[in-house]
Amino acid sequence: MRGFVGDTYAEMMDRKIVWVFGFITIIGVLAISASGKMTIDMQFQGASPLGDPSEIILLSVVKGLDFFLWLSVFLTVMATAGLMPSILSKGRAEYYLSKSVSRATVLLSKLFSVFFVYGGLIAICSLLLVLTATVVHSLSFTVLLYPIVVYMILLFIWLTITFFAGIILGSGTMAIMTAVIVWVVQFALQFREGIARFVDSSVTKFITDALYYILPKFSQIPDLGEALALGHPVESWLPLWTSILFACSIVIITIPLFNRRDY
Amino acid sequence: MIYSEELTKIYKGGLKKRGIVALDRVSLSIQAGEIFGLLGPNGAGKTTFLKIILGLTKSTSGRVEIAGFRPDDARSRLRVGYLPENHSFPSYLSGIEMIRLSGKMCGLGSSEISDRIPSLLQQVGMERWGTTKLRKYSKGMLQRIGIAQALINNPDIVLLDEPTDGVDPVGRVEIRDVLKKIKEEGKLIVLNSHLLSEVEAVADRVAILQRGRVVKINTVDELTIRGTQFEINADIGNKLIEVPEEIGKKLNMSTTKLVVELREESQINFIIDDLRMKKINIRSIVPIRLTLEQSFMEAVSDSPTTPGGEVTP
Repeated sequence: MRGFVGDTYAEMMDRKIVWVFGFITIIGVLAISASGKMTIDMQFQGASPLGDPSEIILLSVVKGLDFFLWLSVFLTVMATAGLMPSILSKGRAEYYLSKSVSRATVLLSKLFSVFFVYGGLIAICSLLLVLTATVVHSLSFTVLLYPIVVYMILLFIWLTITFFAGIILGSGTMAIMTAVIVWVVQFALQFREGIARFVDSSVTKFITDALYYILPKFSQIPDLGEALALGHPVESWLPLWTSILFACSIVIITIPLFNRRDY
Repeated sequence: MIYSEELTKIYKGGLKKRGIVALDRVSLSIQAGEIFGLLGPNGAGKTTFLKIILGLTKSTSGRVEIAGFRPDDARSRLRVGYLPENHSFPSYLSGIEMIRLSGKMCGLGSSEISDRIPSLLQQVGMERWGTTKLRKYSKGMLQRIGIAQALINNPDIVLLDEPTDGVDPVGRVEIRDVLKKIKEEGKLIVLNSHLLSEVEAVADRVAILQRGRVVKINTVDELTIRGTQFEINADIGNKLIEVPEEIGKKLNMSTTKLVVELREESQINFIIDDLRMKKINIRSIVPIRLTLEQSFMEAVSDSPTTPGGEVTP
């Protein structure tokens, strides 16, 4: 595991991905800093027709943080989709798989090292934003951590999909396409009741319901972090735990498939 | 150390394609303390054999053991070092970082790895280039660092697939010396190479593979010696030497040298007696040797040339 973390870190630094994250973080910090003037204006003008100014500020910061985290996770998924196919490419697979570690260890070590290294980078960048928001708008630091935690879980679920597709299909492009297809399907499944009514078929309803519960719910998980940050009640934890269950299942399925392959 | 029995590997073809027989009932037993050469033309199954014993590829049938373990057991690779053919090491790492990563994947501690790295770099002549990124290395430098990473865990079994590929002649000699040093430590080296002269210079035993089958296996001496051909260096002068047809024939003769091909090795005594009777001073009798390349070509051309390597789906 130690070796893989160092390997992943070296590769991330080599690919200059840190610069991209640094750039979007600076923009985020500048945006939050500039919004300090908006706070002062609101305080001078008193109660806004939109509601309590402090709530509006909190909502704006949470939405901004949500967008930043979504973008960061998206970039990470795109940047890391090719890592497993690259490790398993001809000439490199022989290097990694000829050592005295099992294939399951190689898979899990790489998965967790990508999660820790890239997740750590996202966490550091988003903590800078949270810190800026705390200083500029005097918001609670702890409350703003909820979206970060939720997006870390989301990142892990994305990674399990791209790793699975990367191993089975052996191509970074195909891994990205699989992730996009899963995203589109889960997005469409949010409207499964409408689809079932439109098609008017019990079979379709059964299939869409089953897919809804099986597939991860990328579109709904961020709402949980947002609700927690804003102090709203969470209606259902189902999107979170079913998605975690999906990720665990994917990992469990991937290991024997990986073990069976010839390199 | 490495043992295979009736080892067979058939790569599945597509729906309408025939399967490819990469290994066909290969039985080998390779012991510690020897340098074992695997020879064969492209597609003979040499790399497939190495991949199976490393657990990279699954065999279709047969049995194989490495260091007492089956290849699918990760413990079998605990004392194994491997340099792959046409490797593509992570180019974003430096030589030292790559060796360090190898050490960690072999379960070594950081201090142990740090202790071993300088001597390994020195052993392969890369001490000046350890901190340079691999992408800046030449092919020969990559081979050297590849050998160093294969040795990080102080392995008992070293598998080298084309180790001198892309290495200049001076580097080849140095790598040959490294191999001899490893052998002196009582380790087993399996050398897979197209450069027959390289194998001939260092290997103790050689297996020649052709279309997935072992067509010859023996020591280099036995493979290259021509048991019934002799070169006799003697002061023959103008004396007439006849070799009776029932024992062999004379291939070449000069005033100082006689080359004969005998029906049986023991019949050299007849020639010696004849020369002594004629009071000819014998200076040396040398069995005629082939180069490994000649022996290899003979083995490969002798083996059946039916369209082997393919089976019906």
